[in-house]
This record gives sequence, structure tokens and C-alpha cells, in this order.
Amino acid sequence: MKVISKAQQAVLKILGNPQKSASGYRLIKYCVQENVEDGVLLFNVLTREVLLLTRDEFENYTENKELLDKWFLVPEDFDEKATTETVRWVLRNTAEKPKHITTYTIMTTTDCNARCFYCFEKGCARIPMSEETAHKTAQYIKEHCGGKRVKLAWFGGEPLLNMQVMDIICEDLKNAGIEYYSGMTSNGYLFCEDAVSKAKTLWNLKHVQITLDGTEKVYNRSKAYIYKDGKSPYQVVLNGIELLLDAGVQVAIRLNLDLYNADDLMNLVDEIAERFSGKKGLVMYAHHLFDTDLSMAQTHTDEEWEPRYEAMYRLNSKIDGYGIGWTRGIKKTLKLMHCMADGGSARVIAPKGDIGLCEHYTDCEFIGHIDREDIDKAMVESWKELSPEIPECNDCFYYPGCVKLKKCTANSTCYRHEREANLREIKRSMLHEYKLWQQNAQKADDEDEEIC
Amino acid sequence: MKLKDGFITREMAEKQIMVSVNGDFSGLVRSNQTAAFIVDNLKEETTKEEIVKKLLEKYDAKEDIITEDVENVLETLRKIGALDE
Repeated sequence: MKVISKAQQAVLKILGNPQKSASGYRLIKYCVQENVEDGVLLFNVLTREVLLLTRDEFENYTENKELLDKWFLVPEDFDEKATTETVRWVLRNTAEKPKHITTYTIMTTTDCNARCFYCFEKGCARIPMSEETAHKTAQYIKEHCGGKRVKLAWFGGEPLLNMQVMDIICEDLKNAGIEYYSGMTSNGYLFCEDAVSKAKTLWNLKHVQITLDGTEKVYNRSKAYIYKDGKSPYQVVLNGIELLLDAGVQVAIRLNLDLYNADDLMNLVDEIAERFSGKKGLVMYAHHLFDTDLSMAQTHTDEEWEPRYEAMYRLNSKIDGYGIGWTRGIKKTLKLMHCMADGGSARVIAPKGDIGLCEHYTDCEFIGHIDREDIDKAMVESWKELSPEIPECNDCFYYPGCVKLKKCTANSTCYRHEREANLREIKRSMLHEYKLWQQNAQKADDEDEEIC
Repeated sequence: MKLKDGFITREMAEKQIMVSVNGDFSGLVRSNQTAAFIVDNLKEETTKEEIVKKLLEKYDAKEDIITEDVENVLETLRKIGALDE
């Protein structure tokens, strides 16, 4: 047996010694298996450990004491769900609470230069942040970051429609000696040479997420930009992506997948991979387009989700084939929070200076204002409220990795296809860890040879 | 004497787990049923003698053994700063 990725020691410490059983042992419900060429990978979603067993070891796993010590094997009558809840309870109660706010999502404007049919901000007032609010935002950050390095996440609307407030905030932070870096969610249209130069020198921009809805004709139709200058927005955006990549800014292209555009997106992946072949810093991923007034589970029935998920797997597989997929390893620690909304170290600052916890709420759900110190604690707590469990939680392999917030517009309920997608993603991460382990083992072998 | 406010408990697989939420103690205390009974009693103002008395009512054991058990648990709690006395 080989350890591919280590367990979270804090979880093992809470679990303590394995329990003795007179009635025998079984694999924990949170164990995910994946076959590889030299055996079977096992991942314990609770302890976060990945093991590689030979086929012989796997066939006789119930007799393996090490698997018992590592909580892959548990007594037949073991209650893993109650145990997981206790582990989370201990970790949540003993974790150091964030003392400072170090991530700020700044909505430079709720205005946009595109008119996407699916926009979740459709109908919201188009409000730009004023220069005065930008100065106050920088001051607020300075007073609440505890002198720590901060992450700025530029959001909108289209954040680049109000670049001057980005300049002001960055200049003010720089003058105050606050270290910062930034990321952005943008449609990419306004990334000209000047903007990219500023992104590097002033905004300290590290990554941008840009959504593409299809190949040229489809994209231009669905984004419906306000400009009538005869330029193809698709080409303008691809030029912007190229400038960013050349400047060393990572670009994550999100493909918005709906019921009808899967084939076109497959063509788009080919086009993008060809156009940016050899360039570093490009990743792509497919994402379901959904109505934010409904949870994902309510958007379709299980049968209706089927073709959408199949299309997503096809797309992601194609993206992976080009080597530009977003590959994540196994998260080393047990998930205790869903996102910035319940994390405690992040704030959203809306154009008028209102402070929120979720970027999907542009005109409500605020917890305070940059002009005031008081925070609506009840509102903060309401964002920590978890979604009610469903019967499937009892036997779900993903239970320790799942935290769903009642207020989350995107992901408050669970459905079969989501669980299947999680399983695929975990297996992909296991294989990623396995490859890294193989590479490290190979490197160690090479070094040994050199020493000899 | 009383358990300090920052110390909280929860049951897991017939054991009681106790942690400190305000950082007074960074570890974890795992108690068997008897120790858990003592800790639970300490959630309200009490004395060593009262705890011993309650244990004698609950368990069929000699007083000197129970007293020694209580003293051991109290000493452990004292060491980690979990007691207000």
C-alpha cells in the first residue's frame, strides 16, 4: 500500500483510535475507488487521504489493519454521518476565526456593455461607483485588512466600464503601503493594450474569467454588445485574451452550456485550442447556464439534466484532451465553508458602498456600508444557515465534502446529476494526485541514479 | 467550581469530546462515560463532594475509588485551564 496524498492530521486526531468490531468491517461510505494500471486508488472523503493498493491488497481489504487504522475500514454498524458531523463540529469550533478582511469583491459598476439574454443582473439599476466611493473603499480596505496582503476581485456589470475607480483604489492602496493582487470577472471586450498594461503595472491582475457562449456568430448574437462599430465582438475579445496571456495573466474561459449549444461549444473548444496553442496560462471549463431565480435542482428534472450533463462531460473531456482543462488536485482539508459568504474573511463592496457577502446580490442582502462600522450580525449569521438535508445525504459518498447554504442562489439543493458530477470530479482529482505522485517517484529514482 | 464558558462538549461513538472555542486550549479531550458525567456536572456551579455524591447514586462502586476518579478528572481539567474555581 502506498500513500498518494496524506490524510488531514486534525481529522485523524478527532477520530481517535479505530473502533473494534465483533461483527466485522466494511469500507467507509466515503471511500471512492478508481482503477489505475498498477492497482486501485482509494480516496477517503472524510480524512482526505488517497491510497494506492495493489489488486491483491484490494481483494483482501477487510483483513488490512492499515486500512482500519486509516479509517478506510469501519465497523459494520458504524455511523459515519454522525461522526462526520462531530468532526466538523470540532474543526469549526476550534478553527481560528478570521481577524481581518483580506478578500474584497469590488463591483466597479452594475452597468454592462453586453446584453446577454441570461444575465442574472438583468433589470438591476445600472450604477457606476463614484470616485469618492472608490477612495472610501480603499480607506475601508486599509482599515479592515490588518496590514495583510489583500485580494481584490473586480466584478460588475462589466468592471472595465469603470476602470478609473480601479485605478483610484489601487493607487490609494499602493500609497498606503497595502500589498494587493487582483482577479476579475469580465467579458473581456475592453482588454486593449492600454488596459492590459495597466492590469500588469497597477492592478496587479493575476487572473481573469471570461465567458464565451459560442463560436463567432453565436457569440456575437448572444452577447448583443452595445457597440455598432462594425467590429466582431468575438474577435475583439479573443484579441484581448491574447494580450492577457502574452502579459502573463491567467485566463479562465468559461463556456456557458445550455440545452442547445453543446455542438457549437465543441467547435469553439477546437478554435480556442488552435488559436492559443502553445500559450501558457489558458484554462477552459464548461458551466451550466441556469436561471438564478431557481436552484439548479429546480431548473430541470433528472431526465432533462441527462443530456446537459452528458454534453458537459463531452466538452470537458475534449478540453482535457487539449491539455487546457482546469485540473484540481484533492483538497487537503475537509470543507467547512461553502464560499466567501460564510467564510468570514471576505466582503463584497457594491457601487454605492454597500457591503454584502455574495456577489450575486447587487441591491439587497447587505450587511453594512463603508461609511459605517456597524455590521448587521443577523444578516451575517443568516448566510451561514445550511440547506436542509435530503434523504440521499444519509448514504452519499460526498457528505463530508458538501456544504450547501440555504441562501445560495446557485447551489442550495442537491440532485442526482450533481452527485454524479462530483464523483467524476473527485476521480479526476485522484488521478491528478496519482500522476503527481508518479512524477515525484520518477524524479526521486532519477536522482538516485545520478548519485550512484 | 465550574467548567469555563469557552469549553463545549459533544458526544461521539459513546465518548464525549470537549474542545475550547476561545483558544484557551488547542487540543481535544476525549472522555469515557464516567468522565463525561463529571464534565456534564461541571456545566453548573458544583463541588467535588457533590459530584462524588451523584456518582455514588449512579454507580455501584466504592467511595474512595469514585473520589479518586473525580480528583483525576478535575486535575486533568485544571491542567488545561478548563475550570473556574
